[in-house]
Amino acid sequence: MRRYETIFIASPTLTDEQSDELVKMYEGIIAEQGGELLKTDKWGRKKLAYEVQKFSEGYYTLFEMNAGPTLIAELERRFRNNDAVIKYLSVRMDVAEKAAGRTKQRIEREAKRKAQAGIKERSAEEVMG
Amino acid sequence: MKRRADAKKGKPKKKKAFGGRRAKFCKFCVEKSLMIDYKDVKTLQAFTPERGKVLPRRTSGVCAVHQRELVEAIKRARNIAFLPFATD
Repeated sequence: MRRYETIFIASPTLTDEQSDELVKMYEGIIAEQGGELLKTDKWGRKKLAYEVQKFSEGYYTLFEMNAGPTLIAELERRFRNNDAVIKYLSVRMDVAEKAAGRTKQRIEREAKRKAQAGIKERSAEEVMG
Repeated sequence: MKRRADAKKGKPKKKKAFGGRRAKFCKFCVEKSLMIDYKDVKTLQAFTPERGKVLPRRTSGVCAVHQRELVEAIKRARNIAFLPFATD
């Protein structure tokens, strides 16, 4: 299982109820395909930075989940086939999170070393002035 | 202002580092940020001035490692319409 984040934008022609239904439908698909949904974030109607299919607004929804690659493929296929979804993006997060964990360890190690050597670190405010 | 006051007191001139300009620093290193999130539109906008292009490292002072992460995040944000590809 890998960690993924998927964002999709639903068409602004839908009503709030319809977009909620759409989200529920996709939650159902994730469950059905053996994915483990961690979080659903509805950001509601938001302005787009540029026009997508002549729309300048859309309903943003974010899914965080543990899933296999086949589930993502299936989910994206359904996004493509659904006219109510105007854009979507899936990002794999587990690799980046592991890297972040390593960076954290490195920073802590460095801080410890500096503390032992008696080097005072400049605070963020000091550096940025 | 400060420099003039010093001169009046007749203190020895301090040699200026960075050619008199302010030292550049990598914002992400200073803040010890672990990940540059493509959903954090506010931060990304700070590095994409008017035209929507990515601010070069020589201007922003961001270190190489973080610039790579930053560019990746900006590209993702553009894909999902958080940021524009270009504005005129």
